[in-house]
Amino acid sequence: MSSSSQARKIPVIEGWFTMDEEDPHLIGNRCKVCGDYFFPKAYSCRNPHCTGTELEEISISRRGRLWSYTINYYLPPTPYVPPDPFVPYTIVVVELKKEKLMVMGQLANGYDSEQLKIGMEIELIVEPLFKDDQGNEHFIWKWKPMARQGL
Amino acid sequence: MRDVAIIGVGMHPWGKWPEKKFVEFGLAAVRNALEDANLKWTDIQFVVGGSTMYSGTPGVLDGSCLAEEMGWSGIPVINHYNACATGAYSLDIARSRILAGLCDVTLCVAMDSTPKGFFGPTETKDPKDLDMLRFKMGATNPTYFGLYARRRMEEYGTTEADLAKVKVKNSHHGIHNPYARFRKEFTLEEVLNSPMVAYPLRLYEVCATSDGGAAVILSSMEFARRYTSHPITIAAVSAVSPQYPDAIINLPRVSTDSTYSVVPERRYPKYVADKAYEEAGIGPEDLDLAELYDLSTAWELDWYEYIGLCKPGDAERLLNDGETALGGKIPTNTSGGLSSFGEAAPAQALAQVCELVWQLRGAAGKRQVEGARVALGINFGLQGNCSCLILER
Repeated sequence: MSSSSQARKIPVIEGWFTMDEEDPHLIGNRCKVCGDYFFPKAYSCRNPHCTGTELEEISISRRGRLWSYTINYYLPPTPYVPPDPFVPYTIVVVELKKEKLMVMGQLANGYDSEQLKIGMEIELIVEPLFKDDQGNEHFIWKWKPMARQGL
Repeated sequence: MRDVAIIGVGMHPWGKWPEKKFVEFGLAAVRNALEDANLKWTDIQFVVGGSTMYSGTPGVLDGSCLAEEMGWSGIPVINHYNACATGAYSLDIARSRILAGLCDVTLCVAMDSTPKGFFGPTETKDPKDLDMLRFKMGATNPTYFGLYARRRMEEYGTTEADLAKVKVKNSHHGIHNPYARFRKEFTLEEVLNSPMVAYPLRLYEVCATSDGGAAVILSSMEFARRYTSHPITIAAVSAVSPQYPDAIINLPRVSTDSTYSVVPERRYPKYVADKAYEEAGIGPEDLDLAELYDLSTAWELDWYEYIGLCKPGDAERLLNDGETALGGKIPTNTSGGLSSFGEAAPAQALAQVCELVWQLRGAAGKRQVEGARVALGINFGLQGNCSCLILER
């Protein structure tokens, strides 16, 4: 592994989320005519009943409710980069109230699927997904249960 | 609309043959279908080939590869891919050609030679490729099935035993199918003790990846009546894209459309089935059997509701009452389903057509649904490719 001074933090995909670890958010856009939200960003409005072509970039809400989850017990194919040794991981789907859309993502590190309850409040974070041979950390958005659960 | 007949069907068994080239699966299927229809290769006037993703450029052009192996006969050959709904789209193209009066006899064929284990993305250098992204995240196909299954448990109180019983039922059907890959009767204990793959789904509850091939020969009714007094007719081909907004995370997406400005009237799979019923002029109460898209056990239960066999939340009751087993009111996956076959994506809608035709002819042996007259087949694939076929005797 090369020196850590050269190691970088790299998003796994450009332009889908901010790298602000304190207050991260997904980057979407919104149609100026019908008001529909899009994540990832649409090229033009995807509502077939709308003639809008102008979209404004927006931050997607960081908080939503758990719609469903699953735990993967088998090693996925590449390009998944597994930890050594491979451990099962959880994938969740979160429903965002304001934008009225759902987003998938991994459950944040350090959280156990045993803690999950469908409908619970969930918050977005950005975290390393894997580290490459050069020591670069590849970041992605993930979801974690909120410490205080509101109603 | 005038009727179009199905006059020949044929398959290569589903399984794993790493030493075979994909075109061999199609050749066997086509030869069987020609024999079934009592036709020669040179009687075929138009070919629609369903492409395979896993055999490079020849796989994309697999209809052409097949035609070359059968012997170039100077006819048009279409190559196309619509994921798991490929076969339904093939049928739609092939019947349109007949309905347009351009020819009398058309052939649909597809074959697949799949990698072992999970499907992975097709390698691409596009840094924005969504399929690459979701696999990086670890969202395999069974991830999606697991998410739907866990949600179903939450909404309707489905138990893990309910899910396992779908596999048990389909395995009891599949043992009687010589074309099925897995011909073993599973017990509830075996299914429930199999390793967890994507909670709450276990190894025997998610579909394997298979090699296989299927072929279907279509003709005008005038042509069909020269050969048989009881042709099978295509009552409906519903191969339609989703209606915005698509509010469930479908493969390969990692998000849904927003329902901010438009509230969806119904879910996409229900819409696809509704369109088929509309074209056939029948309803779910008229069905004698259905081949459903059981990529997971839970998904088969969802389909009971989407195609209207019962109302939402009643699928478990239908299953537990034995209504969807052979001998029940509406047997589902009499072929053994994808759970007995495994996925050979472009070929599986045509494989369903083979089963439906055998059933409607009364030629399904120990799997026979007595007096079957109306049969339905469902497929659901990547990127908004869902289909529903209805055949009648």
